[in-house]
Amino acid sequence: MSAVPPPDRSADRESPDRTPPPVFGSWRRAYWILFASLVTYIALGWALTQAYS
Amino acid sequence: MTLLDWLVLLLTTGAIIALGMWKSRPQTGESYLRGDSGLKWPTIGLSIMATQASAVTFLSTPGQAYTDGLRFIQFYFGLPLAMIVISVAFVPVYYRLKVYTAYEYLESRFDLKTRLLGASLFLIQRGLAAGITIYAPALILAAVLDWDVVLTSLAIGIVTVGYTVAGGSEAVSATQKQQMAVMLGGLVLAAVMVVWKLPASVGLADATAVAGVLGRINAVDLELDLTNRYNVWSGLLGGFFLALSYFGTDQSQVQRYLGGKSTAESRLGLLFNGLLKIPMQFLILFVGVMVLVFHQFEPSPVYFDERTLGQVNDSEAGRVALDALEARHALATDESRTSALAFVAARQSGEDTTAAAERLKAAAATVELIRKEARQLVKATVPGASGKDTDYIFISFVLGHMPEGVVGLLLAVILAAAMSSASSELNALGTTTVIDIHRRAFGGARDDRALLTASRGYTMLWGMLAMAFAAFASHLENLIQAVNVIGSVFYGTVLGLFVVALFLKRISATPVFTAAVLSECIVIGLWLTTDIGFLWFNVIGCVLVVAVSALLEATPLGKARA
Repeated sequence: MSAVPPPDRSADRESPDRTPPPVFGSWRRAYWILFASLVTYIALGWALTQAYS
Repeated sequence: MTLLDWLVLLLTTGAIIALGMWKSRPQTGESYLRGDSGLKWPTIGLSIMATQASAVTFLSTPGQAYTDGLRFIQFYFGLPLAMIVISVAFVPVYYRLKVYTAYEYLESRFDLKTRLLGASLFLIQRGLAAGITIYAPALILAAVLDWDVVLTSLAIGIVTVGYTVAGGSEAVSATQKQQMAVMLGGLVLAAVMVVWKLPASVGLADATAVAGVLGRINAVDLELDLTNRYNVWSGLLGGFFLALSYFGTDQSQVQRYLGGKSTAESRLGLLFNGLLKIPMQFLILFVGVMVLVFHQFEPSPVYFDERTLGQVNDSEAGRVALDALEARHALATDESRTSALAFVAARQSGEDTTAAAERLKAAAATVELIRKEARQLVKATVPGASGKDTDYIFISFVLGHMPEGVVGLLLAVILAAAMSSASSELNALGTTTVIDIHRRAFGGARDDRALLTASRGYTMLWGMLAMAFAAFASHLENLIQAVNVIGSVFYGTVLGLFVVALFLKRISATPVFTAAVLSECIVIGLWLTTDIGFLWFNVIGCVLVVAVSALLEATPLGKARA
C-alpha cells in the first residue's frame, strides 16, 4: 500500500479561490510585489524630501 | 471659455457617455445591478479609481499642495495594504455568497437586523454625500466661469442620473473606464503644461529646488508625532483603516468589483488601484506645487476666488482695505520673482545658494502674509464667506494660463470626475435600497422584471434627491465640511461590523448589533462634544464595535444565541 501524500491546502489557506493571477504566477507573489511597490514609493518620497529640503 | 474650449468640453463629455451607453444595454435586473459579471481587471481597476476620484480631488488637492506641499501623499500609504487585505479576506466571501450588496453578507453571518443596520448607515452617509459630489464642483465652476450654480448643478446631475438610471452598473463601469482615461491624460497634460509655462531659464530640477526652498517638497516625514496629521505612521495606520472601510464595505466601491468575471479579475483590479493610486495622487499634488513655483515668477491673485473677492468692493471700507492689500501684494510678487530668478541663477552657476534661498523664503513669506490678510478681509466683509480659497487655485491657473482647447479638456476632466463618482454613488444607493430594503425587508421586486423596474426607480429617486440638495443648497461651505465629517462618523462602525464578521467568528448577532448601536451613539456623542480630529472616528468606531461586541458575547446577550 503506497502512502498518499496529504493534499496541498496552501491555496485554501490563502483564499478559497484557487485561480492564479494572470500576470504574477501566484497571489502571494502579487501581494509581495504590491507591498514592495509601497516600500519603494515611501523610499523615493523620502529621498526626494531629503534632496530638496 | 472660447468656442474651441466649449467644443472640446462637450465632445469629450458626450463621447464618454455615448460610448458607455453603447457598450451597456442591461436587459435584466441581474445585469442592471451587477453588470454582466464579465468585467476584466483593467475596467475594474479604472472604475475603482474613478469612483474615488471626485471633482474635488482635481480642484482641491492641487490647492492643498500649493499651500501645504506634498505631505498629503502620506495619507495614501495605507491604501495598498488595505487592497491586499480586501483581496484576501473580503472578495472571496462576497463572491462565494454571490451577493449584490456588501450588507447581504452581514445577514448570512449575523442576522437581518445587523444587515439592515449596515445598509441604513451606508444610505444615510452616502445619500448626503451624493448631493455634495454634484454641488461642490458646481459651486466652484460656477464661481470661476460666471455660470449659474443651480443650472450647473442641474446640468451635471441630469446627465449623470440619466446614464446611471438607463444603463445601471455596467454603464457606470464602462463610462468610468473612459472617464478615468481622460482624467489621467488630462492630469499628465496639466503637469507638462505647468512646467512648460515656467520661464525658459527654469528647468524641472530648478523648479523642484524652488519648491524645496519654499518647504513644499515634504513628501515623507518619518518622525512619529501624534499631533502631526500627515506623517508616514499616521498615513499607514489611519489611511489603512479608512481605505479598508471605504473599499471593503462601502457599496459604491464594492459594486465596482462585484461585477468582475472572477475573483481573480476583481482582486487584480484592486491591486491595480493599490499600485497606481499613490503615483496618481503624487502627480496631482506635484501639479499644485508647480503652480506655486509658477506664481513665484508670474503674479498671482491676492485671493483666488475672484467672485467673492469682488464682493469686498461692495463696501467703501472693504474697497479701501483691498486696494491697499493689492498694492502691497504687487510689490511683494515683484520681489518674489526677482529673488526666485536670483536663486535659480545661483543654482545654475554652481554658487552657494544659501543667501539666495533665504531671500526667496522671505519674499514668499511676505506674499503669504498678505494672502492671509486678504482671506481675513474676505471673511470679515463678505457675509457667509469662509475665507478659504485653496479650492480655486488650480482652476484659476487653468483658466488664466492654459492655452485654448486645453482649458476645455481640463474642464472635461473635472466634469468626468464629478460624474464618475456621483454615478457610482447613485448606482450603489439604488442597489442597496432595492436589495436590502425593498426586496429583503418588504418582500418587493421578487421577479426579474420587477427588480429591474424597482432598481431604476430607486436610482432615479436618489438622483432626484441629490439634485434637489445640490440645486437648493447655497452658501453651504460649512455643510460640505460637515458632510465629510459625517462620513467618518459612520465609517468606523460599519467597518467594525465587517471586521467582527470576517475575523471574530465566535461573536454572534445580538452582541455585535448592540455594540454597533452603542458605538455609533458614542462616536456621535464624541463628535458633538469634543474636538477630536474627525479621521480618528474611523478608528474609534471600529475598535469600539470589536471590543464591546467581544465583551457582550460573554454576557447573556451572547449566550442567548446558543
